[in-house]
Order: sequence, then structure tokens, then C-alpha cells
Amino acid sequence: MPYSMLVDVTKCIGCQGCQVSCKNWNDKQADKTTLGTDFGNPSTMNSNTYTVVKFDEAVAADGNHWHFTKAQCMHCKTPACAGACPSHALTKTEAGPVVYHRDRCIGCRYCMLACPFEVPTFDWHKAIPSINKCSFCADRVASGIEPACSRTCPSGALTFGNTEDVVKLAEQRLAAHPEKYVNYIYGKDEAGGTSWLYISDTEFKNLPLDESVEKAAYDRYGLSVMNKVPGFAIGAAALMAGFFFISGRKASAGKDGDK
Amino acid sequence: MKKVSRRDFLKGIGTGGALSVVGTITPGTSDNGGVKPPKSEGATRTTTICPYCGVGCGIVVDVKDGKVIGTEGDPDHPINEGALCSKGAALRQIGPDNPLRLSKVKYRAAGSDKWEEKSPEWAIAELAKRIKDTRDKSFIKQADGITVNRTEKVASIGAAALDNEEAYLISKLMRSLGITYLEHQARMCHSSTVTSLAASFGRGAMTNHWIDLKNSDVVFICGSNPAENHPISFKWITRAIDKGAKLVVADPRFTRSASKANYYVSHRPGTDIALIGGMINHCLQNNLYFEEYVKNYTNAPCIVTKDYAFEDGLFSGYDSAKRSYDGKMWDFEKDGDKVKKDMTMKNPRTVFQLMKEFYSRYTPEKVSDITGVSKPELIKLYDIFCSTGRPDKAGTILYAMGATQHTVGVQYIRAYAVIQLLLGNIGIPGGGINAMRGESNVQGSSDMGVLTNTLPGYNPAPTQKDHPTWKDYCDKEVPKTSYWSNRPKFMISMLKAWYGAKATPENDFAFDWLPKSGKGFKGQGCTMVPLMEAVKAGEMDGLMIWGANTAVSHPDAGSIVKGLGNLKYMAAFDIWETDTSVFWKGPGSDPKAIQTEVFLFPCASSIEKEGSIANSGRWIQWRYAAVPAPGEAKSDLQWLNLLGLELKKLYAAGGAFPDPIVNLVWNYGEEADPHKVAKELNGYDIATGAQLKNFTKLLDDGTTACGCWIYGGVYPGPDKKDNAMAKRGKEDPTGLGLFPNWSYAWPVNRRIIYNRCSMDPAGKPWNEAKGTIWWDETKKDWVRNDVPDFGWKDAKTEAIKPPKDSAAAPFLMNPSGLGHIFAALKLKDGPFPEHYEPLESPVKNAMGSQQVNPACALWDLKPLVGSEEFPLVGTTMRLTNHWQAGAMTRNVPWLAEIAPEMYVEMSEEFAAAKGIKGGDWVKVVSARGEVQAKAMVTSRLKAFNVGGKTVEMVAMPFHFGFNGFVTGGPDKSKSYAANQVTHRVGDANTRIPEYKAFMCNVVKA
Amino acid sequence: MKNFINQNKVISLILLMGVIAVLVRLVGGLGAVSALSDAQPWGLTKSLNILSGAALSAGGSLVATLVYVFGIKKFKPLVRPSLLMGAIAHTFVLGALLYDVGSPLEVWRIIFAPNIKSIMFLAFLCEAFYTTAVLCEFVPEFVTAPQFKGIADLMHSFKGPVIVCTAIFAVIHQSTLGALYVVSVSRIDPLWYSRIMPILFLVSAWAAGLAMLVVEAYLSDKSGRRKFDVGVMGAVGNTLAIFLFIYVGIRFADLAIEGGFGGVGGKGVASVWFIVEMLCFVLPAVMLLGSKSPKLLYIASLLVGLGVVMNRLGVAIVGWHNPAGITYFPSAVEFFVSFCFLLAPIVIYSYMSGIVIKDEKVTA
Ligand SMILES: Nc1nc2c(c(=O)[nH]1)N[C@H]1C(S)=C(S)[C@@H](COP(=O)(O)OP(=O)(O)OC[C@H]3O[C@@H](n4cnc5c(=O)[nH]c(N)nc54)[C@H](O)[C@@H]3O)O[C@H]1N2
Ligand SMILES: Nc1nc2c(c(=O)[nH]1)N[C@H]1C(S)=C(S)[C@@H](COP(=O)(O)OP(=O)(O)OC[C@H]3O[C@@H](n4cnc5c(=O)[nH]c(N)nc54)[C@H](O)[C@@H]3O)O[C@H]1N2
Ligand code: SF4
Ligand code: SF4
Ligand code: SF4
Ligand code: SF4
Ligand code: SF4
Ligand SMILES: [Mo]
Repeated sequence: MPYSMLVDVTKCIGCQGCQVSCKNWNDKQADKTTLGTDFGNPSTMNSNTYTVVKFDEAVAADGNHWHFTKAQCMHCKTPACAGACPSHALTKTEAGPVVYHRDRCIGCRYCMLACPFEVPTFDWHKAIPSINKCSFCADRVASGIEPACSRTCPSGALTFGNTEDVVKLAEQRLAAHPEKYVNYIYGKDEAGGTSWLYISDTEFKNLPLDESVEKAAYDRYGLSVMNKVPGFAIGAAALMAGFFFISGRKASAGKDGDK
Repeated sequence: MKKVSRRDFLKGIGTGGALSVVGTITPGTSDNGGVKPPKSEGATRTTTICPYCGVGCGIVVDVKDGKVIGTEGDPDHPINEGALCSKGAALRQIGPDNPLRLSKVKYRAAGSDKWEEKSPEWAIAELAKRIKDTRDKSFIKQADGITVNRTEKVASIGAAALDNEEAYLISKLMRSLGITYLEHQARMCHSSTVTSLAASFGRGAMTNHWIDLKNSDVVFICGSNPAENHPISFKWITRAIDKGAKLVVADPRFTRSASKANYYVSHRPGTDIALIGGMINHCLQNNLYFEEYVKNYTNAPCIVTKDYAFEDGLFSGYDSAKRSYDGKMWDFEKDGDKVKKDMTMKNPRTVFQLMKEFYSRYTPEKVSDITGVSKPELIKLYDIFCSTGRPDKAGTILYAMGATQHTVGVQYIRAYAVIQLLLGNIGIPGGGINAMRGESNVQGSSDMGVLTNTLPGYNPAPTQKDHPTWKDYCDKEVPKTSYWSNRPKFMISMLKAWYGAKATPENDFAFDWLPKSGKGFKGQGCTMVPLMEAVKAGEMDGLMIWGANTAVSHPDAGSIVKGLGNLKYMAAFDIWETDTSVFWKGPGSDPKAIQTEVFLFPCASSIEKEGSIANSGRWIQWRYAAVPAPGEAKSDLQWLNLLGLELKKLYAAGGAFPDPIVNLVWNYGEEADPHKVAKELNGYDIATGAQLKNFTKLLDDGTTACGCWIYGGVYPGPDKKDNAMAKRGKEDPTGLGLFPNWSYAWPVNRRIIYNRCSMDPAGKPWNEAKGTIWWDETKKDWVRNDVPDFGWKDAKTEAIKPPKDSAAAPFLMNPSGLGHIFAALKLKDGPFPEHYEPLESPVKNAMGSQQVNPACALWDLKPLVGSEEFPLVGTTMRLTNHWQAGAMTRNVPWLAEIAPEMYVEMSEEFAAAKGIKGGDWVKVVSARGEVQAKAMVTSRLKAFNVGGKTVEMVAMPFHFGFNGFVTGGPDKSKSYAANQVTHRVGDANTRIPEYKAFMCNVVKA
Repeated sequence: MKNFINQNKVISLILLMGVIAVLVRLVGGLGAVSALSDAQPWGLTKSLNILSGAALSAGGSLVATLVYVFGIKKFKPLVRPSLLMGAIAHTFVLGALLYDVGSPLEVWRIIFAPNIKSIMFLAFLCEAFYTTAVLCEFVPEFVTAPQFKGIADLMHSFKGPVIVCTAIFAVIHQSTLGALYVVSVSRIDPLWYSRIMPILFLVSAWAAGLAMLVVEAYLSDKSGRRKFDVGVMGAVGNTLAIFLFIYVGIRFADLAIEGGFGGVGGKGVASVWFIVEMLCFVLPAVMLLGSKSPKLLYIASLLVGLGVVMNRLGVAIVGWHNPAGITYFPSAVEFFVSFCFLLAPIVIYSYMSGIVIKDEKVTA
């Protein structure tokens, strides 16, 4: 049975505990950074950073708002990255995590182009590089332990569990507080559905969650081409063989004539 | 310590993380996609408590092959349930693998520009020699005919980052040396809390505890930012909100806490007394208070003497030359010993009527003009919080430095106390005044009396003025009523623990061996600010620093970096090379010209030693060593032990008044055993050596010994299994989150103090849904789910006492037995909180002609009003990911990466007007100095409309400095410490500096 | 070799530095030699040396296909130069691909444990097979030395299947390169993004391939190696013009349907880049119609080549959306390496064509 994570943006206090716990669990180093214009630092995911918390402040009619949104791999149900990977270095596990296998990766970085959430990152400065992204703590999950980030989350912004339970929880919250929540679960349909789901009290366009991500799974782009290839190849081969045969005959006839 | 098997691993999941897991998780799905087993499998796992803030979160440390391979939240811990904020989550990088950790003793010779490595033995011997030398030369045996036995040339600061056992040994050793300049972080932190809450309720501690926040109906965050500074509190605040509670926040800045609030107001720093004064007025005018509670449990009905008066900002009894009051003017009418009362509260001299009159001046218009909060906003705020003035509603106030660090800090908190008493919110689940303690063990180090004015367990430290003899001490400090009538038992037991057989009835149990403090530097006492002033003035020879970074954290830090060079020697005990310990190569320092010798002792961090710490909710929790300290680093306990043994050795050969040193009970072994110290804290029977059950067993005849009476019960038996601080029972019988079997809470494992107030006089809980204790009329007994904080049985006969006995004295530490709305005789600056402007303010005080607190010491500074040179209100604060003076986070790469640089928050309007863009480097300037910072331009700060003008504010974190993995900026020759612009004038009672409100300017760098 | 170095000191030095750059890349990772980042995972090497390179060298198999499959005899004389050109260029495209891949030593996995649903797999497969196939076509055409006659004859007997395979691979290959980008739907400017990129890439690659034949012929003529056959080349030009019209037609229709024209007139490089790119297709189309002037043919063809390169760069770099604050501009080393990957095949081709194609003249 697959697992999911609910990110309830209304509860996140922006403590970045998840960010540090993730580094701790995954033995990742810190980056050399400078301070930007807010506290989201590192400002994007990178080879040392599987998850970042983004900060968005705004002033509305009802006063100030400050939203904190944890970003990481969404663990798509039909992951574009895995579909794109030529060597099965990214795979979707039954438990939900989309996991990376270093030993199978050729470093082509096509997963990076394919992912609609722009998640995978690359070791640009290593001779033997890896793709890096949140593993949904697949090792922990496989042993029945929740991911490091949700364990560390102080405020209940992250809730881990069976997909069914998690979706139910999200729906319950939306139903219980329609005045508070935007009636939408981000990730339920995005990119064909993701294992990480978000609910929020502000329009999703105010958050660093890309609203332009299409609902259908992204692997269809690849598949739409790949599915045509065998048919095309066979058809074209037959056709050309035909032409070849005909023109070959003509040619030899011509040759004969020449002689 | 245990090996983690796979099975262990899988445990904890169902129980822990109740908030972060829904449903059940079953391990090992059929296809785990080639996933490897978790790294912690097969590791050795120990538990510890987070060394950062006062929440006291549990953490597990996984060790393989002697290396820490991971740390994470302890899922079994009832407070954090596995959760951690970013700091706790980074604990692993404080461990021995961080190359920045100190592992060798370092010594800097006078005039040298570099460290030399030295052996521990050499360093301790040299340090002891110097201390002895100073002490012998400067020892004052007698002053004005009074035996004082003190030295004023050596000082000791710090302890809040240490374990209780260590802090206790500091208290014990330093006092025995005669040191009266003995201070630690609590002074700069919650000193106003202790004074204020003690004056209001009898004890200075957080009234409730972290988990109890979930029982609240309105959580009022005022003067703190727990989402950033006590993040796990939000686990419980969120749970309250989920159950329908409201969160309201009043903070000058729109903080992370404010972002979660149902209602938020932004008020000018330094104006909470006006803000809350207005609330008190609103509450009284609209009868929103909890009348039965107020009548029965507070001193509202008490009748005040004619001497008390208030006019134009001054209470009666003011002496303007001395800038002080004669507090005796504020007392009650008495019949013999009994305070006169009018239970109708109609008599104009009742506290109630005086209060009503006093606060009627705090009209919404006035308050709005002072605070900058509009009238409708004020009324909305008041109505939300005053909605808890009902028996079935609980409201809590959460505060910390936003309240304490003002020239009126004590009165800020008094204002919170008054409104909470009016609303009947003290002593009840979900209520209280929750003074959120700062450092992981600032509560414990305060408990241990590492402060010039308190001994372990909050017995006053003897002073030359008030306590020339033991008899004077008893006359002055032992009241006839209240629990403090037992004080001689506590004092004598402590003296027995210190001086053993040499403490006899004949020599007043060696009372005179304790130093009696004098007037202090320039007559300003011996607290942290005068202490550092003495250092700056060259009046101090030696300074011991037990985990503090004063060159960054002290106000007017620029002067500190310079002033430290006037010391003859400094001994810094720390786990990192702090900015303070390298002051001699700091900005503007010329090493050659600095003659201070510096010893830097490498210490073990929290996961490399064993001992206990007390969190903000008074839970005393035990930590275990997971790995050895790096190199020659040792725990403070070991360093203290070595220093104590060395000094005893030196004094055995003679010296100035060697008695308290040679006779000091110091039997912790070559390698000091923290358990041994913990047992001493608990107390024991001298004859049998048996551990005492708790402090009720202490006696004043010299047959019991006890290091810190309030810790009675922490170690009631001889074996490690008796260590109550290590208890990990997860039962919660009431469901209210008391967890009585988890660790040990002082006093006597009581989780919510003043709990008599949670019931009506007849012993029925005001709110039966949230009852912890009640009177069972049929059984004629108390049902006790918490430890009663009142006289529920006769101490001698053990007979159960009926409710009416305790109804008269629900605050058993107060001699009156009542909650103090009117703080008679207690404080230096008035019985009712009155608004005064900060020392530096943009406006005139609208409440009267006293601009600033008339009782606070101004040093050489003058009030500054509406300066054009410094038009901006400045404040300093904290950031989630950094810790204090920064050594603990600037050296931790995972945290440094999040906020590597100093910044100053400013409003978008201000930035636009000045042409400053987010990320630009700017300079913040004040009358003290300047600091460079990156502009953080934000909509979260706004100008205030106060006193008819628009005033902008800026806010800076105080975490940056000049030494460490990151310092705060690119220029290695600069200090990025915000405290370069703050000043040292502080509260009238405790001298806590006014870090939170001052005037400054911002210019482009 | 020695001779070559002595004669071409500058070029040799450049290529030697190119080799050093490759070594640096192998030791220090791609970051050491490029401005690539997580926001811009594919950059200059990918778009110039692989995407454009493949398109520009598409002529080889196209001509062979036209001649042998479709029996268009007219182009027969072009078979050898175009095959040689295709073989060399494609070898370098493959080289660039390996250079650009993070772990070149792991590339075998694509063949032995592939995800057969991955476009990337197909792209690799095609590139590898296509290169092999082109070599197979090339060998029997060129290997005339008697001692290798056996092999050449053997290969010759497979000529039919090989040519058909090559043709198919060529088609799939070029469209696959376009297909790679289809998934990056929200990350490419609508001026370039299209769901039918596979078709667009294919048609434009054919155009580019033909254009390069013209360019090659013209330059060979100028260097006196081979005469510019106006008849053949005119026919090539006409074919090219047809391809261009088809291309421009599909592209405009697609842009119109998908609303991609919205970006024209917008601020920044993209809009200008797009307009110039489109001119590079439209102008030569017009110029080529019925034209027999070698110079005109040459210039028009050059324009086509430029247009195709601009198109590939447009898709991969100019039209690539980076998050705010991040812009990709290839590093100097990156430019240099790309240059080397273009220079090397040209050098080798001119060197080899001197030997091989001269040879042909002799035998002819
Ligand atoms: N991350 C982190 N956590 C910490 C610490 C740390 O350094 N970093 N330090 C620990 C320590 S020792 C302590 S003492 C606590 C302190 O905890 P807090 O008191 O929460 O700390 P601050 O951020 O200094 O101040 C809190 C808020 O007070 C506001 N404030 C300023 N002036 C006023 C005022 O006049 N009235 C009101 N109502 N608010 C005002 C500020 O805007 C600020 O948001 O935190 C502890 N926890
Ligand atoms: N402007 C401004 N200034 C402030 C404040 C403010 O709000 N604004 N707040 C004030 C407050 S509330 C406080 S509490 C102070 C804090 O001021 P400091 O106490 O000076 O600051 P810390 O950085 O907490 O220093 C504690 C030191 O203890 C060390 N340490 C940690 N563990 C151990 C250990 O086990 N043994 C030993 N020996 N050392 C250890 C740490 O490395 C660190 O260097 O700052 C005050 N200064
Ligand atoms: S978010 Fe991106 S990386 Fe993660 S599973 Fe989906 S496609 Fe793959
Ligand atoms: S970079 Fe690695 S993981 Fe990503 S698509 Fe290529 S082979 Fe797969
Ligand atoms: S699930 Fe694991 S890997 Fe992913 S963000 Fe959370 S801690 Fe990091
Ligand atoms: S740990 Fe939880 S509350 Fe903290 S930033 Fe991450 S998601 Fe938000
Ligand atoms: S710093 Fe405080 S809230 Fe954070 S983990 Fe440590 S104890 Fe818990
Ligand atoms: Mo503090």
C-alpha cells in the first residue's frame, strides 16, 4: 500500500527543521551561501539539499501574510523522471517513494528536463556525479519509520501515512474549515497525481507551487512518441524495402542496359 | 544506552509522532525497489535533551563505531514527540566530528598574538594559582565591622548552557571562594521574570508547561516569538488551535508566530504596559473579570494604607536624588498580623478600586496614541483575550524577551500578572503566565543560584547590608507564614552539604563562610552589567566564563571587546573558540597592547557527558553521554572538579581565610561523578547517608544535607534506577499532558503550580473538563492527578485538610497566601505597573511627566526623546536558526547556511524613501556605535503612528559577531554584533538591559 | 599525423587544448568546464554539438536514401562526400553526447538494461546505431584497397538492409532529438515549444543536411578539389526549398494553433532571435526556388544551416525558462569545447576528403 505526505501550509511555521533533518538523515553537507532577500536558504534544492522551505510574504486586505512552503520531490504516481530515465536509475516503488539508484545512472540529466516540478539536481562538480533528490526516505519508510522531515516537523505541517488516510485527512480538514482553506488539494491530480499533497489557506498561485503543471501524467509525452516508434519503424522499413527493391531492380535493369 | 534492533526501530512509530503520522505504517512492503536498510539500524542509541532552548526536547543519538551517524527527535518524548526545530535537528554537527570543536587547552600569554597549546594539568594549576593570588590579595574579611568574607576582584559568569550538577558546583565553589560577582545568563534573560512573578505569585517560574498549551482557549503571545524561539511550543499551540482555540499575537514585528495568529496587532516596542493597562481598564470597565476568583484568590479586596498614593507618574515615597522609592509606603492596613479586607471590594482603598482608578487613565485613545495600535484593533484584541475571564475558559500569556528586556521589564510582566489574575487564568490548565525560558538550562542554573543575589533554591544570598548575621538573615528572610517559613531547613541543609561537619549550630552552620555582597561597582550591585562595568574599569583581575559569549551578547558590545583587555586573566570554558575568548584579536584590538592572559578550556558538549537540565516547564531531565568528547575536552564538571581539588590543595598550605575552601565538601572523586552531585542536590540524611524522599524531609537541626532544596526528590534513592530525572514513563492519566512519570518537575514533581486556583473555594474545578485535582466530598479526600500546590494535609499529622483551609491561601509561597494584584513591599518601582517610555524613545511619555522609569539606574546616560539624529526605533531579536551570541550555530554549517549574514529588517516604505534595496549592505548607527547589516526589506515591519507622528522601526538579530565559521559578513576585521548599538541601562529591579527598545538610524554602507 | 601537425600548428594547438578541456571535465565534472546548473541542465554542448550537429550531418543518409531507396540517380555523385561527411560528423555527435553525459562509463547500461520507454534511450540507441549504420554504408563505398575487398564485398551485400535501417534510424533519430524536449512543456518559450517538435526537428534536419551538402560542394569547388555540379546542386537546392516550405508551413501553422506567436515583439533576446531564425528559413526558401547560381545556393544554404542552429539553441537555451535571477550563458571553456567538437570533424573531413574523394576522381 502506497504512502503519502500531506503538507498543510496553514500549519507550517517555517522553522526549517525539515530541511536540516533531511541533511542529517541523508548525510548531506551544508552549502556556502549568502543571505538573500528572505530566509529561504539555500534558495533552491541542490545536490546537497533535497528539500527547501520557501518564504512568501504578502499584504492583503485582512493584513499581513507570511507563508512557508516546503518543497521537495513530489513523488509522482507516474513519475516523468522515471519515465524519462533511459537506464532505470529512477524508479517508483510500491510504497510510494520514487527512488534513485546511483549505480544505474549515466548522468544524462534527462530526468531534470522531464520533471515538471524541476526537482532533480546534479553534482556538477563531481567526476562521478549523482542525481540528487528527496527519496521520501525510502529506507525509513521500508522499515516502517516515517521520513526524517515529517518526524521532525513541530507543527503538524507534515503528516505521513497511507495514501488513503492522508487524502482523507486532507479532505477532512478542507471540509471542517471551509472558511480557512482553499478548496483544493495540490498534488491530487497534478502530473497525474503525486504522493505529496498540499493544502493551503491562500490561493496556490501565491505559493511556490507551480499551477501550470498539467493534470495528466507527464510520461505521456514520452510514451506518445515511443508508442509510435515500433509501428513507424516497421511501416517505414516495409515501405522503404519496397522502394529499395523497385529502385534496385530499375537500377540493375538500367545497368544491364548500359552494358 | 541500547543497541537498536530492527524491532526497536519499528517501535515508536505508532506511539511517537502522533501528529505527524496518520493511520498505521507497516514496514517492509513486498517491493521496496532495492532500497537499503536505514543507516541507524544496528547503531547504539542513547537519549539526550536538546542543548539549545528551554523547551527541552528529547533527542536520540545513534552511534556506530564510535561515530555519531545520526540524531533525531525522540519519538517517545512527550513534549516533542520526535519533532525538533532546525537547531535541535542540527545537534549532530555540535558533536565531536565538527572540526571547529575545541579539543586542546589553549593559552594566550600577555601581549601575544596567538594561542599556544597547553596540557590540562598545567592550565588548571596556573589558573588556580592566579585565582588564589587574586583572592589572597583582595580578600575582605570584614567590612564596617561585619564579617563579609568576600573577594571582589574575581568574577564568574555563565552556566545556562551547563548541566545542573555543573552549575551547582560553580555556585558552591565560587561562593566558597568568596566571589560575589557571580552571575549568569538569567540576568540578561529572565531576571525580570523571576522578580516579577515571585512578587505576584510567590515563585519566579513558568506557571504551566509546554504540553499544557494544548488546553488553552486563547493563547496570547505578547513579548515573544515562540514559533522561532521555542518552535516546539507550536506543536501544542497548533493542537489548541485545532480544538478551536484562538491565537492572538502582539508584537512590533509580524513574526512567524504572528503568521499563524487569528488576530495580530503591531505595537511600538516598549509600550506593553500601556497595551495591557488598556486591557485591564477594558476588563474592569466591562466587567469581564472573573469575580469569584478575584475576590477569593487575589489581594483585590485588601485595603491599602493611606501612605500609598500615585500622582503624575510617581508613586508615594519617591526620592529623586537617589532615584528610588521607599517601598514601605505601599502596604496594607492590618489588624494585628491580618490584612484588612473588604470582600465587596467597594471600599475606595481596596486594591480593586485603586486599580480601577489607576487604569481608568489607560483609555483606548491614550493607549492607541502610545502604542500606535488603532482603537478598534485594541478593543478587538481586548475582547478576544478577556473572553477567558470565565470559569470554563483558559487563556495563557506566552512571553519572553520582548517583555523582560526593558527598563520597565518587571512591570511589563506584572501587567500580565494583573490581567491574568483578573481573568482567573493562573493555576489552571491551559492558563498561566508562561515565561518561556531561554537556554536549555537557564532554569536549572537559576535554580542552582548562579546569581549574585540567590543561593540554590532561591534563598536570598547574604548581603552585607541586610544579613550581617545568621540571625539577621532569619529575621529578614524567614516569614511567619507561607512555605518560606521553612527556609532555615533549606539553608542549613545546604550549608551542611557544603561544609559538612564543620557547619555546626555553634558557628551558625558556617553561615558566615558564605560571602556577603557589598554595594558593588559604583554602588550598583554585582549583577551582570555592573560586573562588566567593573571589568571595563579595570577593577576586576580575573574572569571565569562558563559558557557565555559576552563580547557579542552584552549591550554596548564594542566597549566590552575593548574592556576585556583590562583583565589580568580570563578563563573561558567553552566547546568552541568564542568571539569573547579571542577578544584580543578582535576588531580594533592590538594584541601586543593587551596584557590579559587567556586560558581556553575545551569542554564536552551535551552528548559527551552525563547530567541533568531543567526546561522551562521545570522538568528536570537526564542526559546520557553518547560519545567521548574530542581530544582533551572534558565536561565542565571535570574542569570544575579539577579546579576545586587544585584550589583545596593550594589552600591546604595556607592563604587568606582558607576555611571555606579546605573544609568544602568536595568528594566527587578524581573523575567527578555527576550522579554523586545529583544525589547531593536531592539531599540525604547525614547520619545514615540515605537519600531523602523530598524536601519535606529536610530539617533545620543539621541532620540533613541538601544542595538545592527544590530539587528534593530528583534522586530519592542510592541507585541509578532511583534517578527520577531519568524517568521515561509515558502515562498521562488525565489526558491533559501532565506526564507525571516523565522526568521530575520541581517542586515535588508538580506540573502546574498554584493549582489550588483551578478549583472554587469548595474544591470543585472551575472547569470540570480540565480538572487535575478536586475535593471528593464523599471520601473526604483530594483526588490528585497532579501534586497539590497547597496545604492539603497537615505536615505533621498527615491529616487531610478540607478545601476551605487552602482556599484562603492558594498561593502558598506568598505570605498573604493570595495572588498579588497590588505588589506590596516587593518591588523597586511601584505596586501597579505604570507605563514609562524606554530610555530612548521617539516621543514624550503621554501618561505623565516622568519620561522613563523613575527608579532605574541611568549610569552615565540620559533619556533621549525624539532625537533627529536617531529617528528610528530599534529592537533586537532572534532568528529560528541561530542561537544567541552565535557560537552554537554560526559554527554549525547546517544552520550557518540558512542565515550566514547579519541583517536588519526595515519596512518597504522606509527602504524606498532611503533608496535601499533588499540585500544592500547598510549601517545601523546609534549613540554607542554602529553595525553593518544587509537590508532585509519587508512588509512585515510597518511604521507606527504615535504621539502624532509616524515612527519607523528597524530590527536586528543579535547572533553575529567576528569569530567563527561564519561571522555575519564578508569583512573579517569587523564585528557584526547588533549589540554594538544597544545600551546597558536596564530595569529598576534587576538591571536587565533594554535590548528591546532604543533609538538609532540606518544609513547606506 | 606529424605532417598534419607541422602543417597546421594553430589548429593542432586548439585541438590539443580541446583534449585538455575534456580531461578537465572528466576529473572536475561538468561544472568545471561549463556554466550548466540545475536550472539549465542541458546547454551549449547539447544544443550545438548534438542537436545541431546531428541535423547538419543529416545529409549523408538522406542522400543515400534518396539515391538507393527512392532511386533518384541524380544525386549519385553526392553519395560519397555526403556519407563521409555524415560518418565523421556523427562520430563527433556521439562523442559530444558521451562528453556531455555525467558518467560516460555507464552508458553501456542503456543498451544492456534499458528503459525501453525512455526517449533518451531511443535517442542514444539511434545515435549509436545510426553512427554504426552510417559507417557501414560508408565502408563499402570507400574501402577499395584490395586486401579489404572481401569485407567490403560482404558489407556491400548487406547494403540494402543497411541503407533501409540507416534511413529509418535517421528519421527516428532526428525526431527523437525533438521529442526529448516535448516533455519540458512549461519550461520552453512558446516561440519554440511545440508538441510536434519531432516532426519539426526531422524536417529541419533534412533541410540542414541538404544545405550542408551544398556548402560542402561549394567549398570543395573553391578549394579546387571537386567541381560544383550546378545541375545536381540546383536539384538539391530545389529539394531543400521544398523542405523549407514544408517546415515553415508546419511551424507557422503550429505556432498559430498553439498561440505561440504571442511572444513575438516581446522584450528581450527571444523575440529577436526568433525573427532572425525564421528569416533564415523563409529567405533561403525564396532564394533557392529555381536558382542555379552557385553563390546564391551557397549563401541560402548557409542561412539554412544558421537557421537550424538558431532553432536548436532557441529550444535549448534562448527559449529555456530559468527561475528568476538565474541566467545561463555558456562559459568560455564551454564555447571552446563546442568549437573544438565542430572544428575536429571539419578538419578530419577536409583531410580525409583530400585522400578519399580525390581517390574517387581517379577511379571514376
Ligand atoms: N532560535 C532561537 N531560539 C531561542 C534563542 C535564540 O537565540 N535563538 N534564545 C533563547 C533565549 S536565551 C531566550 S531568552 C528566548 C527569547 O525568546 P523571545 O523573547 O521570543 O526572543 P526575541 O526574538 O528576542 O524577542 C521576541 C519578540 O519580542 C518582540 N518585541 C520587541 N519589543 C517588544 C515589546 O516591547 N513588546 C512586545 N510585546 N514584543 C516586543 C520582538 O519583535 C520579537 O519578535 O529564546 C530562546 N530561544
Ligand atoms: N541585543 C540583544 N542581546 C542579547 C539578547 C537580546 O535579546 N538582544 N538576549 C540576551 C539573552 S536572553 C541571553 S540568555 C544572552 C545570551 O548570551 P550568551 O550566554 O553570552 O550567549 P550564548 O551564545 O548562549 O553563550 C553560551 C555559550 O556556551 C557554550 N556552551 C554550550 N554548551 C556548553 C557546555 O556544555 N559547556 C560550556 N562550558 N559551554 C557550553 C556555547 O558554545 C556558547 O558559546 O544574550 C543576551 N543578549
Ligand atoms: S516530482 Fe519530479 S523528480 Fe519527483 S517523482 Fe515527480 S517527476 Fe520525478
Ligand atoms: S541522469 Fe541518471 S537518473 Fe537522470 S535520467 Fe539520466 S540516467 Fe536517469
Ligand atoms: S522525505 Fe526524506 S529525503 Fe525527502 S525531504 Fe523528507 S527527509 Fe528529505
Ligand atoms: S519542519 Fe514543519 S513547520 Fe518546520 S519548516 Fe518544515 S514543514 Fe514547516
Ligand atoms: S531548540 Fe528548543 S524547540 Fe528546538 S529542538 Fe531544541 S529544545 Fe526543541
Ligand atoms: Mo535568554
